[in-house]
Amino acid sequence: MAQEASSSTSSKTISLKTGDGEIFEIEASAAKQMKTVQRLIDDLGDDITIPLHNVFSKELPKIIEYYKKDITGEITKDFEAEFVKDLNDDEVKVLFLAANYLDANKLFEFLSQNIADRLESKSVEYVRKYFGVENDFTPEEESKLREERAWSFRGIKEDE
Amino acid sequence: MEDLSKIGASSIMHLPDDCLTIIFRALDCPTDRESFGLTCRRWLHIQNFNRRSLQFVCSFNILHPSSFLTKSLDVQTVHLHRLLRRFQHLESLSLCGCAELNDSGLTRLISYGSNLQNLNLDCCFKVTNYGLSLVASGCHLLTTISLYRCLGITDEGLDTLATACLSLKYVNLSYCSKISDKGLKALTQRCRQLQAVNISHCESISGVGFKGCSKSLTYVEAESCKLNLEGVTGIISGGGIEYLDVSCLSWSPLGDPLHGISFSSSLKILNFRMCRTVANSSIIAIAMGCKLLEEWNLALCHEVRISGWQAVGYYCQNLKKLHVNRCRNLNDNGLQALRDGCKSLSILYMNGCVHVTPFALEVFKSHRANVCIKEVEVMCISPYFPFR
Repeated sequence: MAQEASSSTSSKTISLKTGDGEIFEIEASAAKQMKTVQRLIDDLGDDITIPLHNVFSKELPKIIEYYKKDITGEITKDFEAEFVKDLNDDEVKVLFLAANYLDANKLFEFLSQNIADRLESKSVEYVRKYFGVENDFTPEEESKLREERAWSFRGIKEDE
Repeated sequence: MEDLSKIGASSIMHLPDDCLTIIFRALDCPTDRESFGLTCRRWLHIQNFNRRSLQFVCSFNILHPSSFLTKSLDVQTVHLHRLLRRFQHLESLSLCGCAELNDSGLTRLISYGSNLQNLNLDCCFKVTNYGLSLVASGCHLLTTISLYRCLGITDEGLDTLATACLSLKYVNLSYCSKISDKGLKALTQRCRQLQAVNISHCESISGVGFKGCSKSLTYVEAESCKLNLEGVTGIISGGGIEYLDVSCLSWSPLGDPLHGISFSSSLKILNFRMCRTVANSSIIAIAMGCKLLEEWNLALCHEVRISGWQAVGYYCQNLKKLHVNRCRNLNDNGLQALRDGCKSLSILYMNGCVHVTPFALEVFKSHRANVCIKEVEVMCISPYFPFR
């Protein structure tokens, strides 16, 4: 458990409180990368504990870990690969939503790439399950779409 | 404790479209993008919105037996209508090879073509000026248009297009036999950002339509054209031209017009391949006038004689690549002149020069060890491909 943020000269730390009541410390420069947190700091001041209702103790440490590396400029491809290696699909989704809530752009884009990678070459049904969506096409609509797929090339230089 | 997996699964879909778009755009493979689009309406909408380029399949329709039976039903038009209505944010559209496509197939461009920048109508034989006017109405941001073998297009259609699409930069008019200097003039006068034009095999163009073109015009392809002196002067009149291909120039009873090129101080790459009748005096004038020349293809330029080769050797100090394949009048003395000059030369394309002896070649190699001699004939020396 952490203490209240103490006033320090060189590296100021911010206290963040998760939705399930746990408190984590983060450096002020890392907090700056999460625009939601920064806005709360601007409104509430940097001496009090910042409440994050929609982020929980399971995912916040991972996010802090990412931005700790970011502010020292150490984010490499290897680090990113290691970061997501042991995460299952649900954990990635939760992190993704948390990154969105925190307006943490770099992490958000990195995780969206990871989600896209996880869905690479997967079937339509698999993608539906992943996002929890129902097929809301009529049979006619669906056959029309599949037909239309045949009418355009996947050209060599095609970028959509 | 909340069931986080449930929250995770459904809540992503509660994010706004621009968030989902970030995931969608991270997908590299078009097949994956198609799969997403087939999951539900929401993802279909995102797929449709994000589709930027489309290449319409045309060729198989021509060969299909059933196409001989259908008389009035223009199947391709129906298909194209549906796809253009679905993808309303296209930036590139290729209808290359759609030989049966009528003007009516382009109707949807009026409503949905406003973001289109690149349009390929190569071999759309049935597209006429009317079809081009539809493009003009809908696609004001057009920068690239390719009309290779669009035999139905005339000057009037080109004029309409040029008047509406002022941002045109890359225009391919090759084999448009009905386009004359009048249409070309409309293009060059109205489109002041024009960079590259292809008029190869346009038998009705002499080149005078280029007169007064913008300095932005850096690239002209005019293979197998019937250029005259006024036309050549017109081509270089903008003052910015860097790449010019006049290979296979048609013989003219009025004489060789190419000496007019010598007034262009900006030219870097010149293709004279198969200009069998280009005069020796033209070569001398051009060598003296075009000081920035870096590559010159003189393959099969039989009229180039010793004084011509001497001029090339002496004046072309920036020339890096030279092509002399099958030049009948390149002999040992000519090769020596090249050897003693052209100080920047790095590649010499040479084969089939019957009057160059192996001895002279060896002397060349020993004096100019840093010049690579390639025994291949290269037809296309274009630095890039602007119409693709």
